Amino acid sequence: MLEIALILLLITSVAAIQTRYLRHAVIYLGLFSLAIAFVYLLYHAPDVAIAEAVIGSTIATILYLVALQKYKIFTIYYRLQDEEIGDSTYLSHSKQDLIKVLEKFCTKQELEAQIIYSKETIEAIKANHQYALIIEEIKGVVRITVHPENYKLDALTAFLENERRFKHAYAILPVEEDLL
Amino acid sequence: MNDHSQLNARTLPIVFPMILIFGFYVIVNGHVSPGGGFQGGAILASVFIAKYLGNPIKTLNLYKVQNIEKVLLLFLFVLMTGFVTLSIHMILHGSLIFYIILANILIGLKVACGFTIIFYRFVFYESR
Amino acid sequence: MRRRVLAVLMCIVCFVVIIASNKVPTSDDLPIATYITKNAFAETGASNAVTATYLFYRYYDTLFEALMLLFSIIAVIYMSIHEGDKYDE
Repeated sequence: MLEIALILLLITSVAAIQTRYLRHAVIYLGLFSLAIAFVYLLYHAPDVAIAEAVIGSTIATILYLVALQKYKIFTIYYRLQDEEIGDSTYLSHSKQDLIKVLEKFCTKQELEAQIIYSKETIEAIKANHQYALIIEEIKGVVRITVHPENYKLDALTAFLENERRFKHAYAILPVEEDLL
Repeated sequence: MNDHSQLNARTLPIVFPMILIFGFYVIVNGHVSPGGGFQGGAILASVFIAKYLGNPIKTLNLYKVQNIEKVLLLFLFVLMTGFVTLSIHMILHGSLIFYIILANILIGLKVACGFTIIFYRFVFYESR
Repeated sequence: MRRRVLAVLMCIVCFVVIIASNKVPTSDDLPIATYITKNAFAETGASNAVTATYLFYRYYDTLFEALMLLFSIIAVIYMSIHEGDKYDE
């Protein structure tokens, strides 16, 4: 019984470090707390086991989850075409509307929008930067490229369908997750 | 937790009394069974966390809670220094059990207040 | 001035408390862990030796741990006050 719990400790701790999603890491940490509480119990320290189970597995997990939800920066790259820079139409009213709609989405989801205008190609942004969305407008169609780990995709789709002010034609291009 | 579910809001209030009873059991029986003030206080604080998960509305006046906590800490100081250093417990049949139960209760309530304040500050104030 | 008086008063109180506090009798043949597990029930009446330890033999530990919790709460409150907020509303 003790061996199983100790092996579970190893598995959960390694998984908490190696996972790519912060939310999964928090859950693994809660599992780790539960397992180590069991180990304390088997070593005849029930007081420590109760404290660990309550604090490590309940309060710390919920605090981490709340903190993750509160502080999340949502990076949006706006890729500019050459002609947009030439006549500076990217400051025009309709383009700013698009930005405002996205900021409203971020406020609703309790995210912090960070908008970066860029001239790099989409492949360069994908390779070199942390991003959540990449937007570019080609001939009046807004193309939204979504990061593969972005779990707000469904919420974004529903929001854009329900938003009345958003009059642009748009296409969402989810990126397939490449297994490196 | 932005859009809270009806399931949580309806079922969590059923669990509140049980968590409360278990917390007080752990606090009061700290001298005979595993547990004690700190653990029981943390269990009591989890009642407020469950309340937040069910219905995220802030109805608690944190200022009052912090004042309660300070008063409890003062009582704890007075109790510990009085009972233990000045040996008042020798008058009470030479037994310390009364002192231990009282100190456990004070510590438990204090820790419950403290964790509640930390959690509510994080949840309601740490956003802009 | 008031702070200095308070500090001097605190020092005096601490000194008196340290002088007047009872000592755990240690016999030379027993280490302290064995002493506590043997004599905890007889001396305090608590059958849980952990409780007897943190409330009787090592009560300063408990006391200042409670004080530490209060300090950390004050720090959390101070850090989470934003501009233009009242303390609590």
